[in-house]
Amino acid sequence: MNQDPNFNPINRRRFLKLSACAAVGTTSLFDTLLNLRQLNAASAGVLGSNEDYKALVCIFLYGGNDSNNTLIPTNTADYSLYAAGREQLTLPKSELLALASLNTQGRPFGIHPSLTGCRDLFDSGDLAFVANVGTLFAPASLSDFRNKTSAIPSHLFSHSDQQVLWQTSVKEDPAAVRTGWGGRAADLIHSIHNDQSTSMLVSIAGANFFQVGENLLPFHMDAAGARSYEILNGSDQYATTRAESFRQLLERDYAHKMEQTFADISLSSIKNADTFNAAIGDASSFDMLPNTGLGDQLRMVAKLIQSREALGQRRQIFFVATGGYDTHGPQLNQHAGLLSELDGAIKGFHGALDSINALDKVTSFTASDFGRTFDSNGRGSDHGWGGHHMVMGGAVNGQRIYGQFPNITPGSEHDTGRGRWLPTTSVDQYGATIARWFGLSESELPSVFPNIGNFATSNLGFMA
Amino acid sequence: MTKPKILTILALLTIGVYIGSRSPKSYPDSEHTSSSKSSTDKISEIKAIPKPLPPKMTPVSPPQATTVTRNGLAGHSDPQANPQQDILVIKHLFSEIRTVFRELPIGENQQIAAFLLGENSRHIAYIQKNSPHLNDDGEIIDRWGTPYFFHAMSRHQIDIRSAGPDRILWSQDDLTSHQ
Repeated sequence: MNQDPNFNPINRRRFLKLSACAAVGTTSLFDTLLNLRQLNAASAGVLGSNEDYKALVCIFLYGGNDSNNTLIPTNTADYSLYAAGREQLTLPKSELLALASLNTQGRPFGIHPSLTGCRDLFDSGDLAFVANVGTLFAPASLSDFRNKTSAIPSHLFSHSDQQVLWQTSVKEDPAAVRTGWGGRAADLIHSIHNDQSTSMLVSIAGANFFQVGENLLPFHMDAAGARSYEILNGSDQYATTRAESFRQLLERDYAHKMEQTFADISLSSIKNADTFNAAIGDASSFDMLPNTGLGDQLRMVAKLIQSREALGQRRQIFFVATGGYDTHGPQLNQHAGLLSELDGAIKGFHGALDSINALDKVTSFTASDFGRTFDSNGRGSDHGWGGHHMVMGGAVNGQRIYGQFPNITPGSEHDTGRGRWLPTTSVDQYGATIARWFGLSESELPSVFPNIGNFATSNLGFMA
Repeated sequence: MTKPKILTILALLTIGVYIGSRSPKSYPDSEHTSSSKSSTDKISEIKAIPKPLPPKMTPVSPPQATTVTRNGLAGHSDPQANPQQDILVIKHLFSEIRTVFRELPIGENQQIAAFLLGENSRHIAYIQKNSPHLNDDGEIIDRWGTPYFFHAMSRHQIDIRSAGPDRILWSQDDLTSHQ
């Protein structure tokens, strides 16, 4: 019988040799893992100081904020273009809040009259604007847009697709990738800084892509705290017995994987809820935050930050959100109300962080589906692309406007039609600048922001 | 059979075979009779014969994509039907497009109209250029003549809004796909 020349029978000698190699390899692997664990434990001990803490807070404005009425150039020529382009959406120049900007070379800017708190934070150096940020895979021109080159994301102007892209910053079909840049950043640093028993990712605004990592998932709370099973509530004897029985059911071993997974997740959820609720039990009430949807969410974030030691967290990423920014219809009053809520929450959160000496440790930033059309649809504005965003915190190089403000002349090099601005800064650059401050190294950035290498810089300079 | 008969038959067969085997006399041409040429020369001569040119191709225009036509807005603006029916017609059309293309076109009314006119990867024209449901700007209009507002929620969902009888978008009498 002809033998296959590639056939390599395992004999006793070869088996022993391979087993030995495998054993050595496994030992090395275990050694490495053990060393990493010891290193993490050691670093956790060394870095146990309360001072080593950083948090990111993503404030997502669902619907697409009309940032054309958030940050407005007020020199005569630009304001004339603004008024001509926006028509009935024009905000009177006299009502705009002037910014004492340090880096706009004498070009004056004003912000929406509802943003008094943000104006104060800007002028005091704790808030910066980043102009014309949007989803983009590489620097792009109008020609790229018209020819739909690989620099241009697909499904522009679609709420859901652009929300996902803002949160994931991944070129491939986001629905297939399903991890966000916050989650991927957490994957890299969670084990180095944090107690592993609780997640460093906490959402106060429900499910999102931003916080989904390969290994980590966000823990969901609401503005009142962590929710748990109703069956666990009650303090009488019957309720206690019922709750104990339920826990015992979850602690059992199940043969069916789905049953076992359900039990594990349920149990983990209950334990996390107990941990989080216990940790924030003694937190301050932070009355400086307004009793609004966003104010309540940021109050919970402030409590969690204050309780960071009890939670064993030295790096945390929070997600809060508010909706209603899809202002197609009568916009002026609606937008004023939305920005008023945002302003109150941001100002209150700044005060809350200041009260617990965490101002320098926490950076908050806005994000939104897209900007809106510069021209009016008659009553409101429609889906746009690039938009202006705010970054807040003690570590922000504030009182400045970063990035390139778009040329608002109709038909300019930034106008893809109806004043849908071609972004001059990508979400990757915006996020990478924040993530670098958070602790990601230069070499780690591409794994979190896969398109960052296409851009001239990964550091826009707005973080200290 | 008697012996003489057998001999007769054999004789006739022999004569027949002889006549049948006589081939017509061939007259080889001079080349073939020229025994002086070697086979190498013959090969050279054969090789020297110019090869026939490929058949001259008549230039043809590239095949044109066949446009499949559909009456995607059939039933729209039917005076006998409830105006909300128009929204359902478009909703149904979008549903069909989503099935065929796996996603919906995103953009302004004109861009969606262009897609429906056949500017899509499968060259399916869901409406025709002379459609009464298009205005002069190439926008899809409602029964009162106002362009529809198409709200891109995602690549799979577009909300539809008609300005209604007052022809003012975002007013009380608007018709939407939510209703």
